[in-house]
Amino acid sequence: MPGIGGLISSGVGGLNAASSALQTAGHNISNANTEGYSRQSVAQSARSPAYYGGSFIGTGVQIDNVQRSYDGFLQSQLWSGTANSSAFSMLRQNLDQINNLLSDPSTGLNSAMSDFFNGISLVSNSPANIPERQSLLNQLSVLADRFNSMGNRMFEMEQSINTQLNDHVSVANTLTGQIAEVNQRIFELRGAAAGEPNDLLDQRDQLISKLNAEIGTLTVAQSDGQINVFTGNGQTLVAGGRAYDLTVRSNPFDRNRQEVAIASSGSIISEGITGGALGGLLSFRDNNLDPARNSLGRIALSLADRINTQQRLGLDARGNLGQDLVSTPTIPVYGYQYNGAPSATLSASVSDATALTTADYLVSYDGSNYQVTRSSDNSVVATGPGALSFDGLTMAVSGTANAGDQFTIKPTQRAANGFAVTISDPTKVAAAAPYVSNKDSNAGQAQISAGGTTTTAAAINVGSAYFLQPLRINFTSATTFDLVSGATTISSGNTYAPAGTDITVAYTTPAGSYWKVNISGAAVSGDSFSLSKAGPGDNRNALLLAGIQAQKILDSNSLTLSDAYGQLSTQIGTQGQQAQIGEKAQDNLLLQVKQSQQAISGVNLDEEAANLIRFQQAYQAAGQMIKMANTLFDTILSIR
Amino acid sequence: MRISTALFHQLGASAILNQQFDVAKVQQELATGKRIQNPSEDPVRAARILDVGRTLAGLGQYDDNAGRARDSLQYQDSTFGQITEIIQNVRERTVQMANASQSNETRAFGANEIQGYLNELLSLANTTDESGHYLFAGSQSNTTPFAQSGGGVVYQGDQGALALQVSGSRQMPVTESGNALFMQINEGNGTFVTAPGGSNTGTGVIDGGTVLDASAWVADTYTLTFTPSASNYELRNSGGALVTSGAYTSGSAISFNGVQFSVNGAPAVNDTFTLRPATGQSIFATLSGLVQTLSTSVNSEVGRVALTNNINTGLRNIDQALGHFLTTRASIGARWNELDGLLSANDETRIQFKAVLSNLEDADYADASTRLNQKLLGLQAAQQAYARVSQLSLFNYLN
Repeated sequence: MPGIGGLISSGVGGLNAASSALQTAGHNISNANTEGYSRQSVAQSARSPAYYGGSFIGTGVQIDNVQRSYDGFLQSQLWSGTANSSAFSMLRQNLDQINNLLSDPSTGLNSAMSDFFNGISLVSNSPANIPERQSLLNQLSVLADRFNSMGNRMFEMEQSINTQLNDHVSVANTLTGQIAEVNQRIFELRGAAAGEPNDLLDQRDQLISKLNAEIGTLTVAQSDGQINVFTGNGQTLVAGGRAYDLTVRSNPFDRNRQEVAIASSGSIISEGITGGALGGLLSFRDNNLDPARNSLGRIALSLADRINTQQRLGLDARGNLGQDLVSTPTIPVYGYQYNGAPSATLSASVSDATALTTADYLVSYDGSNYQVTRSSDNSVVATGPGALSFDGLTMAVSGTANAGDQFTIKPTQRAANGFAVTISDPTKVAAAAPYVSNKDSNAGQAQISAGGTTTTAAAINVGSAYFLQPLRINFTSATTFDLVSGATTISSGNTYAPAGTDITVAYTTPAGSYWKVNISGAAVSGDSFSLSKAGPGDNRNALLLAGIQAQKILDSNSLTLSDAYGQLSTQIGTQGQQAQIGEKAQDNLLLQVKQSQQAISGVNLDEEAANLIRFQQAYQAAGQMIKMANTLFDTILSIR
Repeated sequence: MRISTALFHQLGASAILNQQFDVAKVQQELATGKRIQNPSEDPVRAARILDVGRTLAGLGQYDDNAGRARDSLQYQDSTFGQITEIIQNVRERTVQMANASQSNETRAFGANEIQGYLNELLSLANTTDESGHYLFAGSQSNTTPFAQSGGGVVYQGDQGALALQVSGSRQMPVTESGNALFMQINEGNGTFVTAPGGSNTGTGVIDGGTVLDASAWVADTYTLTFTPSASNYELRNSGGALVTSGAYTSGSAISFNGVQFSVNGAPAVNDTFTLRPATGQSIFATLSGLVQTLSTSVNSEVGRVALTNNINTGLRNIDQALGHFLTTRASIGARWNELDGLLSANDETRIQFKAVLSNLEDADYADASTRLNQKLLGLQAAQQAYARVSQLSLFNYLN
């Protein structure tokens, strides 16, 4: 419509365009601080020209649509960055807790352990003194408390992870529900109009960001404008307008721990979850908490085993064989929830504390054989129909399992929690060795050794019936001797080799232990030696107990107990440091992505102010155009 | 590039927060005096701190043990000092008693005196430590080790010895069993013991003998008999085989199997003397032997000879005992020296390790306060920058 009418029409178009642009700038200004808001702008274009008199005459401006400044690639970077950052932050927070636990001198194990061994050393200095023994028991109680409180703290962390999993799962469920809802609305609105419902798209992006803070996701955009959301390993969380809830349920082996599962099917997806708070929690539990707890448990288990073993070989202040000083709880064996009924009951016990690992074990039964797989490297460590021995453990089976039944053994899981002192009577510390070797005033040069324990009987062995009875070794010639206890001759005419002859006496308990002495040198007939039961002033067993501190007993004799604790705290320290670095790196990365994303989508108030001025002027100019057209009309109407 | 206004404020705030965090960290370092608060700040350093701390604790433990060992040795040394003094007194008195001018009465006084020494010795041998445990009872520290029984003294302890862990690799024995100390003292000359026969009628007095060649000595009981006349002797071993024989000259040496001895005076025909291998003799038996010898009245020449022979035997045994306790004290002294060495080495090691620990663990105050100033400056700068830049807005100029 050429002419004045066209001018008015152009003016109105301009007014419309400018007021829409002003409105959009206002919308931008209002949402400058809205999380996830993308700056919007009015896309306008020249209207189709009018053909008039052989020329095309412009007809003004039209609004195409309102679009948001958005980069899909940066948005997906933002999502994965959020997932990683959230996971690392969760990991770091939890590792900090263990770090504090291990390093704090008032909760750490180091000082308690060295105080305990110091206590043994003091007993060895004055074995017959009761106060030193009492103080040793007190030190042992402190050590046990320390083990318990550290173990319990780690258990509490596991329990708290259960609760946190539950919390994060319910937040994630709310978010997936909202995403599905927004998906649905976007689908409906897009059907109705040509433009994009920008604010809903922003809202959905923001919801997906929040979801990623809970659990790492993958997204797939659909042609109908909806976005489908999956977990890292492909479990559907949102498909179009439908959300699939997650849930938590007990681990089928260890009922004390919760796992993340799909609510509808019940299948556990914990292992496939990466990223987000859930990923961080699960990774912390599997890669940090469990190994730390197992390491601590192994120290407790080995220490208990070594102390008790040595204690059983000595005599207490009353001359009785030593009893266990400490106890550790039964090794937990968990049957798989879906094992056939009735199934077998498995139990495990420590047979060699030095061979213990910090791993857990999966036992599966194929109908004829049990197969034991070590979790740390997935290697099969033992296979057989019944009792099996592996990695310092002995597994016993009672009852009959069904083919396909599974069990897990967690040898070191609970050892620190249940580490307990079992005696309260200070005289029961076995400081003395069983026998003292005595040499009578002999004419010959033969000497007798002080003796020590061994696990193999010598050729000349005295049965356990005579254990702790006084024994005499009477030489009947330079090369023969009789073994006598009181009036009883135990054996006569034993052959003596002056280069050295061992004599062992079997312990009543533990079976397979022997007290061994060695006689060497030239003897003459009539020479005699005796073994007498040691008195309360003997400290040889206490010295051996104290020596456990310096013994490299763990990891194929490469670590002392304190080394193992040092290793544990270094390991957790390093993991904590890595998590800190990781968290910082992820935060920086996220910030960079955010900056790039905000450079495109963010609202700059100065820019919007400039826009306001610009569009205000455009509006005023368009208004002037209409005024001008009016004047033109008047001009024409005034022609008379 | 567009700076989103929201992000601008967010960045400004988080920059200030970061600076505050750094300031707080340095502040904590200054407040606690520790370079690291948490192993994760520097795991390697934390592990070293743990290690060095453990070594120091170990040193402290060995120090305690060594100190305890030194106390125990000192106590024993003073006990042995008293014992040596007593034995020396006994020796003096015995030498006096050997003098021919002594009468039966004065010898009886001497015997009484020695009996007193014997009792004193017995109570010293039953010494207890500060907590009432017998020092010389071996492992039977609650049992009185030396008890009188049937006129003699019996040892009721055993031969156990207390050893203390005074360093990582050294278990030092700090007590010896009373058996070795008091009951098993070598007698005679340490190799063999000479004695007159019980029914000698002559005046022959045998000396203690000496060992010329220990490798030639054959341990056995030998009997010297003056036969067929008082001027001839035969020496036979326990199997009755003749070892050597010859003409007797008073005071001249008789040698065989690497040893020699001599007889003085005029033995009668068929008088005998014996040589037997030395065994352990108790100091109490030696003293009570002397008491018995001195309290026996001497009324004949034969009795006088027997007295001389017995006093000589007693003196030889006392000399052995003196040597024995001297050796024991020397061995205590050697261990004492070793302990002093260990303790001062420990002190040096401790100083070194403490220095290492301090380097690892302690905050460097100069450095930390410099850093604190830097961080404070940074914080101030961040705050000022934010405050100024955030005031700028185009809206300020719209009206």
